[in-house]
Amino acid sequence: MRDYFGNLPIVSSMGFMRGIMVLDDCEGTMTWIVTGTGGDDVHAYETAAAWQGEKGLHLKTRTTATAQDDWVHLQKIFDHPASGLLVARLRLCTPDAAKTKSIIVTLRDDDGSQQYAAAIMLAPATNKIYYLNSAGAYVELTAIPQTFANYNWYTLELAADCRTHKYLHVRFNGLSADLSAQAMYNDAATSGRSAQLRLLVTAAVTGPGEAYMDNIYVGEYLEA
Amino acid sequence: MMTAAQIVVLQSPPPPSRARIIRQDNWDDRSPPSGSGTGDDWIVECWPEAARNGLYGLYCKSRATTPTAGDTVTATITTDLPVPGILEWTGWYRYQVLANVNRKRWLIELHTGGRNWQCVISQYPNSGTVKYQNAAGAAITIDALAQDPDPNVWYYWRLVVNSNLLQYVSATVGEKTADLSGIGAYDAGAAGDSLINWQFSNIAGTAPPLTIHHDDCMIRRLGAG
Repeated sequence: MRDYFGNLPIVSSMGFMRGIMVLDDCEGTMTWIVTGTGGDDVHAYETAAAWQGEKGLHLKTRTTATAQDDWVHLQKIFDHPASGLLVARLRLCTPDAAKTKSIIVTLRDDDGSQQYAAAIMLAPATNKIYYLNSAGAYVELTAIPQTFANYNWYTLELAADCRTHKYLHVRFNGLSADLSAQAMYNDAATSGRSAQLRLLVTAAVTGPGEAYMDNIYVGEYLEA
Repeated sequence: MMTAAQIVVLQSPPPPSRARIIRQDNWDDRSPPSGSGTGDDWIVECWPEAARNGLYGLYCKSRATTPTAGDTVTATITTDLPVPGILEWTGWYRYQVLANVNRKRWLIELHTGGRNWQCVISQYPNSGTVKYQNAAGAAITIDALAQDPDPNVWYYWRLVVNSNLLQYVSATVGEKTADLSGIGAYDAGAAGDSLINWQFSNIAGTAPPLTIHHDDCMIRRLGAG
């Protein structure tokens, strides 16, 4: 059989390419699976949340009567790329860092037997960044020191290897941390097989937690 | 969607290809393919909830009211037949409730030489079986593509055929690919004009109705073959 997989397309929309799992410029239809503690959280494409284009993703834990640890959670489910190497990249900012306890970006790998998670937790209220270790604890990433500034758009990249169930790296605001020695967190068994991108925003003591995101992308990591 | 320039910033682009795009459908223009089915209220429409990315995706439902086991719904895209060669059909799909689906089928009809040549891949999500239709019209299990799909997960598919030799080349369902080179298409009878029919043809299971979403589908001619 000739290998036609090398003939990648020239297409007007890159979303047609096989290796692109999620390509959300936050201008179209909101198709995320949403859960949250508040009945009045915000999860919508709005002009105020745009990094580029007309709209971006606005996440807010609660509109009224905010409480500490309120949260709003978004999820997309897709199959694994052919190589098993996944990367998530997105732009994000916090309109009020002090009110946002955490923003967690998770790549989840359900391999038909076990559930694995690679996660990065930004803590805007305390100016720290963490990764989720193999024991399920968040460990500070000292290689990426950060002081969060309101309305400053940051680029976050998280890459993981679903074959070995290990991280590859984290990149944030021009700094990189090599996490290739770190195993993903194996928290449960599952019979399902899928990959997922999860976004979680949690409120600080004085909430609500809030984040803007745009150009959210998950694809096959080709540079490994 | 992001522009190509934005992607270049995000990730190194693939090398250029001479593949010719025959048709792309992300259904954001709300122009669905033609539909058909056993009931009088099947749905083949562009709906927001069926979008993988962008505004709309293709929503296929076997029947809106009084669903019956075995109901069918088919979406058909018709294009003219390009110069004979290697044709590739790709896209993404997802099931809603697996128990509602008996069979999902991807079908290419090559109308050439006065005959209708069919290449068909079928997935039976509840048994994990994937089959192709051989030159005698029989459904043959492809062990290499066996898998148990999950609901709500977007899966990739790819069907490659040689319209010059009237043969399969390969099939991809989800993460698995099978070499089908040399397997002849089925002669389904006399046909008229030179064209291609590309069909999603689905049969409801014992707990109907079925709903299947499709998005970001593309048909290309990869080369002479």
